Parts: sequence; structure tokens; C-alpha cells
Amino acid sequence: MKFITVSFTILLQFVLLVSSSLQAQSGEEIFKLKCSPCHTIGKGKLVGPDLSGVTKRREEAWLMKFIKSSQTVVNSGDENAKKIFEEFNKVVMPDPGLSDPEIKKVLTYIESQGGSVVSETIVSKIRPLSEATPDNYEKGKKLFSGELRLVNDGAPCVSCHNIPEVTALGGGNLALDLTHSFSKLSEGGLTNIIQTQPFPVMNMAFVNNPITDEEVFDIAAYLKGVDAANQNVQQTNQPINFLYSGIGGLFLLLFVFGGLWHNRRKRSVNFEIYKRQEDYIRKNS
Amino acid sequence: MDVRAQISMVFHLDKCIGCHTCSIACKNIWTDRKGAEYMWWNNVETKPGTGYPTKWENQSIYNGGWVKNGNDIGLRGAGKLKGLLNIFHNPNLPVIDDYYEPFTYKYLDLIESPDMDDQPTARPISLITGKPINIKMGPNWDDDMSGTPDYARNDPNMEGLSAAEQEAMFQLEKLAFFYLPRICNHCLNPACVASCPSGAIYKRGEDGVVLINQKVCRAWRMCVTACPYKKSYYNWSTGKSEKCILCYPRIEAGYAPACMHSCVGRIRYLGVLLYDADLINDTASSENEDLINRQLDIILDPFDPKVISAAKANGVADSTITAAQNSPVYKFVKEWGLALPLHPEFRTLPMLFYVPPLLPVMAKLTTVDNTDQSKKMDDRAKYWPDNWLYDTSTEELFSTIEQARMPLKYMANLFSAGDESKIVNVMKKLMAIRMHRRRATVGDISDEKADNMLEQSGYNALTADDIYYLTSLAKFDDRFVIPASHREQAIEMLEFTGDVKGSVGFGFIEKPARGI
Repeated sequence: MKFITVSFTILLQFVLLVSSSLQAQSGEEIFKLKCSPCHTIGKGKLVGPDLSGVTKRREEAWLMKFIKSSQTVVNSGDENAKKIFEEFNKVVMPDPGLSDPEIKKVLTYIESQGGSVVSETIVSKIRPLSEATPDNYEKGKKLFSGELRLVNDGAPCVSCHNIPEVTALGGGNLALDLTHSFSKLSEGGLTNIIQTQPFPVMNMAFVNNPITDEEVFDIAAYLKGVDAANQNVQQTNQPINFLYSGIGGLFLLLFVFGGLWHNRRKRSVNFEIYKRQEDYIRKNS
Repeated sequence: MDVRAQISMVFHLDKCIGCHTCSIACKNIWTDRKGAEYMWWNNVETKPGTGYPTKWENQSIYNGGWVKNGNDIGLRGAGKLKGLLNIFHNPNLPVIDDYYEPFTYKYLDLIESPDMDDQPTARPISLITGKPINIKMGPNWDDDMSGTPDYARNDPNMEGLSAAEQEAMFQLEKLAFFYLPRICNHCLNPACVASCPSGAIYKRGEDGVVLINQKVCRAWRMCVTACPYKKSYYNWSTGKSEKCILCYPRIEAGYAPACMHSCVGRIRYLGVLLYDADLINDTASSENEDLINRQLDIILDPFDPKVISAAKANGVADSTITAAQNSPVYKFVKEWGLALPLHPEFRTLPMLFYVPPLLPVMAKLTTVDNTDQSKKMDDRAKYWPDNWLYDTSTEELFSTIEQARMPLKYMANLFSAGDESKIVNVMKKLMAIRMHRRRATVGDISDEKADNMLEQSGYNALTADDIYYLTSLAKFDDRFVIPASHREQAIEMLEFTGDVKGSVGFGFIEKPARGI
């Protein structure tokens, strides 16, 4: 009980801390924190579309709905939303967890920036991945698997993400499988995400241990290489397979142990005698 | 030749009356403690019977003792790999129900109960849980063959007897039993010592007593499984295993162990044997049929000058050699060939020997016509329509041995690893001594016949009188020839006492700190 109370208190403080830190921010700050990893204003496509002039292209009510929870809108059958989703490789836009006034602030900020839509995709902010050498690839692989420590002691990617070839048992199942991340996110989006960690959990993980630019380049080079090598591989549904193999393994073990130890002594030598005595007492009392 | 001394024992089963005085003496001194209530370092079993713990002789249940692997031997249920496999759950370990749940009675209720309609009774309560229980078993529940279908008929020694032979053992008026008192055998090749992962069990150099160091014991309980005689017990209160210590504090002071001192039938003998420790491995690894002979061969003649000089060179004290020369055990085991070890097939080379019982009285059943005799009886007398005679006549010298009521095969399973000729040999000798004495006291045996029997047993009249004396008339000092302990010399062989001179006193009593 004490444990539950304590952990609940800590959780509550955490929630309050996060929400209070957001409240005081301006539209620009929110945009930088929450949107800029995937979107630009007048600088071209990143993971998601260029947002310059978006307030003129879409109705404000639709934007409010979409920003709050894009998947809800996509799944409701909205044609426009679906089109955007398809266009950008079905990359799910995470719910930013913003309140209505905050979204309005952001929209005001976007509107104030003006500019015009650039249709080209932005390439890596660091340097183009085409410059990557096999050395970068190898180093990236080691950084991904944790074999090589990140300079600022951040957690290795494999703790949360999976790429089947990295470890025998597979990586973490907390976040997505990254085998095909490059083709989904494109070069700019990928490096940008690794660099700025727009996703809440990923952000928390690296907020005090930022990944250096050189490391971002290596990891991105590795992810690109992995994607190219696994073009024809279907992504497996690992968690479900793991569950099935677990259940199967359990029965296999039970079977093996049952065979191995079927001769084991299971009860006292005197069991029969005691049982008869107990039955007699029960019958006669 | 590596000559060492072993304090060993002979139990003369013909003399045991099954009174359990030995068990009580032992219990009062050593195991009347919390966690030890269920232990009986000394117990007396009725044979045929299943014993304590139930069916202890059946090693397919308890996995004790040694098995032969090629030219060597290995522990049946313990050792590095087997121990590791059973480290979390050892199904061969006896559970408390295999022994019995120890109990007492709430005697205070008898005098402290308030006034009520019924008389108060003392309810049985468990000594483990402290709660009232239904008593289901005791340490000698099958005493005098009580509950025969459950106990005597399940005796593991019935192996090799035909169904008819087994049935014959339980026929009314043919039924017979004898007692088998058991303590730790203080074996030459102890399985408990070999099995202990902590190295807590050791065989004392100077007298061969097997002991468990309570400070080193880590409660693995491998010894409980490994001992084929089930004479190592786990104390659930202290978290240590315990076993018979052969009352070594008494022996060191020159007293006989409590069980032997208190023995009403004076069945117990204790003395020193000299043996050749170099031969232990070979002897324990020998073929099944050679086991018993080779175990007896390992015991050396204490009068042989070579043995004496080798013993002295090995640090065996002169007083110990003298004790070995006067040892009643040496006489019974080697000189007279009357005593055999219990279950030599467990290959632990037990150093407790038994003189097998000639009792129940040898007799044969002959068919006779009793009708004439019956006619003489009064009409009102109870009429027994029997047509047989319980014949104790001794016309034929040894014929009754073959028809012993306790089948020879059964005895052989107990004392000679199944070799009936060994048992017959001992029985003939016992019979010859009996007839020799019958000639002197009853006088219905001719000198010629008695001498003939003695001669066939390899005795002469003088030896027969010696055996008779040690069997029936022996005084305390004849039965227990206890050498001076020389404990200080034994310690000096292991460490230099000068190191601690002036710095220690009697030491401190340390109770085992671990417990439940």
C-alpha cells in the first residue's frame, strides 16, 4: 500500500512538472519542441509536410482536430487526412499532448512566419548520408547494439528498438522495429528524429544525454544500410511470435520434464497407510 | 600397509529382547532437543518389518549407498552432477512422514482444566507444529510385527523369496520375528562423508568415529540421502544435520556408549579393530559375492608382529594395540567367524557386526497321527485337530537349520548380500555351541555327537567355552574393551599445540547460529 502511495505521488509530481513547464511557453517554443523535428515552415518536407501557410489551406477546426490526434481523424475516414497519411509513408504523427490554447498559439506562430511551401525534401542537416563509408556503418551498428558507448552515456537504441540482425534474441519491443525506418522517414526525417527525439519517451531518455552529431550520422548510416539490405524482408510481428514460442516452449518443457522425472518420488512412503487411517477416522467420526 | 584403528561393535541378536532401553538411553542424552525429536540415533526394529524410516533398506526409494561402476564405485544418489541436478528439490530425501511426526501429550490439561461434565484428557500434540494431531506413526510402529500387512509384508528383504515362502512366514503358528537394533555403523567407506558438499563430515583418525562438524554443516542434507542406513538426520531447528556420535565424550572418558551401557540383554560388545586403509577402495569395489569376505579380510590380526610394527609406525598407540588384542569384536568377527555386517551390498564397509539369531528355536514340523492321543482327552477339553508335531529333537545334527522358520534367504539378504552359505555357516557354529552347552547342562546329548558338531564347525571344546563365556557370562570389562583415547596426540598430528599454548582455555560453547 505504501509503495502504491509513494509511486502515485511521484507520478503526480511528474505530470504537474511537465504540464507546468509547457504552460509558460510561447507558440515558437512549442513549435520548436514539438513540431520542428518533422515539420518546417517554408523550408521543405521533412518527415511530414512543410507547414507554411497551412492555416490558409485548411480550416482551423480541422487543424485543431488533426493536431490533437491525427490518427483519430485518419481512422474516422476523412479523405484529406488519409491522403496526407498515405503520402508521407504512413508515418504516424504522435499526439503532441497540447491543450486547445497551446495549439492556437502554435497556429498563430505558423501564420506569423508566412513564407511559401517548398516541395523538395530536405536532406540531412549534418551532411548527406551518401558520404557515409563502411566505417560509419560499422560504428553505427555498434552504437545501435550498445557495443560502443554513446559519448554522453545515452541508452543504446537496442534497449527500445529492434533490428533482427543485431542481437540473437532481438532488441527491445518498447518502440518500433527500425529495419525499414530509412525508407519510411527519408534521410532528413531520420537524422532529424535521431537528433531531436520528438517522441516523448525517446525525448526523456536523451534529454540529459544528447546524441552527438557524429553519432547521429553513424546511426543513420547504419539504418540506411540495414534498410537497403532488408528490402525484401517482410517485417515480422515479433511480440506475438514471442508469446507463441513462449507458450509452445512451456509445453515442451513440461513434456520433457514429465518424461525425465516420471519416476520421481512424489509422496511419502507411508502415504497409503496414512490415507487409510485418515479415511477410517473420517468415516467413523 | 596403512594400519588404522577403528572402534567397532558387535550386536548379538539372539540376546536382544526388543525392550528399546538403548533407544531411550540415547534419546535422553542426545536427541531430546527441539528439531531432534524425530531422530533416533539408536532404534530397534522388528524384522521382518519396514523399519525406520519406512523401507530404509529400499535404495530405489532413497538412493543411498554406493554402486559399482566398472572397477570403481560411485555414490548412487549424490556427487557433483547428481547433487547439482537435485540441488533445489531432492526427491530421494526422506520427508518427515517417512519417519513420523513426533508428538507429545498436553499433560497440563489433566490438572489445569476447569470443572466440567467430562474428565479431561491429554490430547496428543505435534512437536513440530505444536497443534493437536492424530498420531499416525511412531518410530517403532511395526514393533512385534503389529500391522503386519502394512509393515512386515512390505519388508524390502523379502526380495528373492518366492510368494509361497513369503506367505509361509506369516502363517499362524509359523510366524516368527526377531529384533534388529541399529546405530550408525561408523563405516570404513562412509557414503555420508563422500556426499557432503561442505566437507563437514569426517571420520576421526584415531578411532574411526564418523562425526558431523556443526560449524561447517550447510544443511545440504546430501548425507541424509547418501547414508543407506538412514542414520544421518536433519535438525530443522538448528539447520544442521546430526548423527550418532558413538557417545565419543563417554568413550574418551572410558565409558561405554549410553546405548551399550544400558543394554538389558547385554547384547552389545565394543572394541578396537585394526584394519588396512590401503585396501578400502579395492574392497568396496569388489564383486558382490566377494564383498563380505573381502570386508572381513581388511581387518588385520592384532597379534601379527608385522601388523603391530606397521600400526606403531602409523602412530597407533600401544594401548590401542593392546585393546585390539583383547577386543571382543575381533573375537566374534574374525576369530570365531560368528558376526556379519548388516547389508554389505551397500558397499560402505559398515563396522557394526551382528551375530544372526538362531532364534526362534530351531524345530521342524513333522506330520504325525494324533487321533490316538486325542481320544485320551476328556470330552470337554478343547480339541485341536492337528496332525503335526513341533519337533525339537536333535537326532539329525544340522538339518533344522535348512528348515529354519526365518528363511535363510531372508537372513542372507540382511547380513551377507544374499549369500546363504555364509548364514548357514554361522548358524551351524551357533548350533554347535548350543549343543555343546546342552551336553553340559541338560545332558541329553552324547559327547560323541556334541564333539562331532563342534568339529564340523571348526571349533574345539575350549573355544566353545570361550564363546559361551563371552556370550552369556561376560562382565562389563569383557564386553567393552575401550582404549585410552589419546585425543591430545590425535590433535597434535593435525596442528602444533605450542602455537596456542597459554592463549586458550576450554574454548567457548557456540550454538549453531543458523535456524528457522
